[in-house]
Amino acid sequence: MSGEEMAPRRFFALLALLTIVGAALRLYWLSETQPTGDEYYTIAEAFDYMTRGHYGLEMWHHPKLRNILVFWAIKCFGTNTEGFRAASLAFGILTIPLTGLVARRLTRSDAAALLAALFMTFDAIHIELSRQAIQEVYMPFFLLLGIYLALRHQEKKNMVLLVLSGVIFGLGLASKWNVAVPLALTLMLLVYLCLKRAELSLFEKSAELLLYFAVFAVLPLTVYILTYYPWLLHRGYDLGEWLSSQKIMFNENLVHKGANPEMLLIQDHTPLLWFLRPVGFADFLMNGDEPVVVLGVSNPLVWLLTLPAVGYLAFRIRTLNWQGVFLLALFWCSYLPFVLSRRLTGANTSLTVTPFAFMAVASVLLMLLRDKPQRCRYVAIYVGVVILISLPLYLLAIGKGYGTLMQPILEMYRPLHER
Amino acid sequence: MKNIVLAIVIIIGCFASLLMLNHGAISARTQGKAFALARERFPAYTVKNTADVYSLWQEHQARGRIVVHLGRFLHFMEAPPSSEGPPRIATIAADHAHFLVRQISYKDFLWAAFQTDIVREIHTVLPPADFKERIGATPQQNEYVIYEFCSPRIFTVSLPSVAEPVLLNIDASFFASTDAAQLVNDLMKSGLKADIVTICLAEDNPDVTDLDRRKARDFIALLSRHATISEYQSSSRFSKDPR
Repeated sequence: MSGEEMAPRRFFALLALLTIVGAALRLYWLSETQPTGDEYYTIAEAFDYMTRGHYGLEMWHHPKLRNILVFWAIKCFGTNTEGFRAASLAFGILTIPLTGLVARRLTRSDAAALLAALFMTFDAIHIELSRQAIQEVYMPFFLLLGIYLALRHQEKKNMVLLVLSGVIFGLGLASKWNVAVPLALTLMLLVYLCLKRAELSLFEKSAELLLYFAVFAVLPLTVYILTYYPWLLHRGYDLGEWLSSQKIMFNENLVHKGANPEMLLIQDHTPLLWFLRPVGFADFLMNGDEPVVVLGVSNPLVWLLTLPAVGYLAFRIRTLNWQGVFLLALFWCSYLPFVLSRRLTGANTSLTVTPFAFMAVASVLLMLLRDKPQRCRYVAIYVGVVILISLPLYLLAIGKGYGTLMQPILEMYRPLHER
Repeated sequence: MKNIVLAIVIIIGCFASLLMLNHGAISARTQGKAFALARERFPAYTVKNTADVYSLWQEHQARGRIVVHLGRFLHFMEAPPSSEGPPRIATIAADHAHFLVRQISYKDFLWAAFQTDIVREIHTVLPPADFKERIGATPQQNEYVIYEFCSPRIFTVSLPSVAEPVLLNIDASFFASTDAAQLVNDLMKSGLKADIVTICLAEDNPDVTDLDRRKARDFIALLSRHATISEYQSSSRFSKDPR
């Protein structure tokens, strides 16, 4: 869409640099932190699930890949904070280059791809959740990797990439059901591109459609079901009973209000506001005798540009290529269900939407600046201010904000009975 | 052609893996020889203490089973944490201490069986008065289902219809408002199949009266026409020091 290109070596070097910076931000001061309340339950549930097949208290209504990954992370890396958070850290860090790689294909602009990756690198909510052993950062990782592999298959016609994409989307579904939206859209895109190819005969088109059905419907569903193997094999439930359990989980998902009523009062849980004002996701832990609040707050200079950016893309939809339309569809189809749902949804869930928001913002910014003579200076100033704002938000996100100038922001997230 | 072959391989592979998973899940259930209660002479055990029912199931290596429990009490009180404060992560990882069942009593033997994977579904048959008191049911309602993290607990006022063989436990408390002959009659008319049938005298449960236990013994006498009844002697650590 933006048409900004640079030498591949330079692009990948800058993307690697962003990934290294992102990794440093996600790993700094990690050893000294204690687990949050959520993480205690997550770890206990991981062992309950893997050794006895039990669902537990911590978000039992969500799929179970987190239990498997946290269990094996602890087995492989130990019970230290890096150990039980290993999967979140790895997925959180790898989401940065994936944002760049997917954005590069959807915006057709290297500069926009790097800008989107930079937004992800410094995003305080993503940083906060990458440092916790919960499943929120799994979603952007799996959905971006699934999309990337599907797009790569489209370029190279490599079957291995296609099958891998289906498996990855299955793992995404096993993290949270929200990944079904980008999965369905990717399937629809491939079907559309297949039907559009005039050189294929009807038989060849039918064969390709059958393959897409197998890869993007049957395979992800199977991978998803297989992640329930501890529940099935330990407890003796059969697949009929598994189906009933999914209905119960679905019903709980429709009305879930969290385990802690106090948290309900202080968290931002109105998706309509995600891109209208700064929003945050807070969690609490004790470090020795000191209370520590970890608070991810959205960067207003990025998040608040989202709706104007996707609005601008929608306005220009007739001029967009299929990649641009796909990006728009990914954003709106991921975001609108949260807005329209009557269920309370925390800002933590926004991670399924923000990769597309960041891509849209980056793309539109560079589109608008394309013909400006001093566009590099404008972009540099904008990036500088974004990073400047990100620094205090970063300190809040890693739990260093308590007792500092940022205290007033933390006080907004203090439970009412403590005020 | 390559696309069709790959699609078929994926579909067949997925279908086969799910079939194997389903087969493995059903194979995880362990049960002894099952008897149709209405048609066959079946073995049954009298059990003194409620916690001994758990020991008996454990000794028979029951796993992944459906329990039909007849009684006034639910026996599903969650055991308190085994140590003070939240478990340390290293402890969870090392020995899963947060869910080790250290002591079982009449208060929690069904909860413990559920936690230790002996049981996957519980049908509790309550006397109608207790059902109404506990569930707050309307006169028309005779079944209530709740889910313990997706695992069903079903409360009814009559013997349920269950396709697979069950673990049947009849607690003495059930006779507080039930006639022994009537229950034998109901059992013989039911389509239940079971491999382990227990009649529990609940001597460890202070809420069960001597009259209830006497009626339970009457029931055992009546049932002996249809069943070979033996007394269960527990050797389990769980029954030695009731809470």
